[in-house]
Amino acid sequence: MIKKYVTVKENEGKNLQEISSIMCSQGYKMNHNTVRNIINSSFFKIIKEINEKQNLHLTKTQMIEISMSNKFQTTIADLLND
Amino acid sequence: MQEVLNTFSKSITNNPLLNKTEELNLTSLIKKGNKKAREKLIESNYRLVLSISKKYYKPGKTRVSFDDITQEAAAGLIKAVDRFNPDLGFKFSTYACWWIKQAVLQYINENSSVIKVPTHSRLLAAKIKNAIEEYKAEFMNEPTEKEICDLLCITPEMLNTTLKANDSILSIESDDDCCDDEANSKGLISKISDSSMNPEQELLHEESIQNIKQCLALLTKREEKIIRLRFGIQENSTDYINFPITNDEIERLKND
Repeated sequence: MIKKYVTVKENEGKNLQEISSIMCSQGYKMNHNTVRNIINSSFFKIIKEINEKQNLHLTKTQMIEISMSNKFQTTIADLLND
Repeated sequence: MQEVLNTFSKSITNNPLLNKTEELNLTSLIKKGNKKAREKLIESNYRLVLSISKKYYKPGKTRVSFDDITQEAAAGLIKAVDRFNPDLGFKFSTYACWWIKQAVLQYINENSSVIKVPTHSRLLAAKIKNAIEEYKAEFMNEPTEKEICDLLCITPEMLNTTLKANDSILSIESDDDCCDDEANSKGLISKISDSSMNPEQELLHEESIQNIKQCLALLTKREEKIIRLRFGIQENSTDYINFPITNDEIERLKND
């Protein structure tokens, strides 16, 4: 599987360590691995729901690939920004 | 074009063709500095200018106008008058013909395309074109690259470079030839397909976006916060319920 990480620094995005420390300060105790897992599972959750709603008939592997893709993640981030 | 023809035809009718003796007399006078004799020799040979200009004027194929070609041909004729040497025994028209052709060809070469291509390359391109047409007429099929190279004794690299350099260039703002109605002709740009979506596609796209936005509601507050932090998405500064002020921010505010 090709792993591509989304560039987040351009939009003042934070790295996993920074996010974990912010979340800890807000009462959500977690380390950077947990942050990464939450990000991945969130995107997977979204693509799974889209697959069901739009009848895309994607396999689990395809869904994992899409959820980790640069294009998908930035698109979702753009929609959150709207 | 008609205007130029009228101007030249007046000179042509006023100046009939010269015989060899008259030409010799005029050239000897020109050598002595007689300006009228020079003018007479020039005006008497306008027929040559017109016939050569007509030969090289190809409307639609090149961007050069007939007026410009005639102008350049006349300049070539003047050059021929100044350099003609009657002692060599040739008729003036034989000598002038080469200067006129040279002037016209040089002008066409410099102005027929937006990008200037060296004359030797343009001439080779014309040779290649002729060779292909002759081959087609003889064998009723397209010649291969190797066959053209063998015919013209050139390398394949030369062939490819020449053909690439002499490719015709069209501006997307240029007139649409297929459309006779001038008002409806909006240039080639009007023929480029519109890449934007049609209303039906746009509606479907909008619907998909709405569906995805609904899917985003599945994210818990914690997940949304993490994604926002990861992508540097601004949180709503007035939404204190979903995005409560952090302890760090409280500390920072206290210090300020």
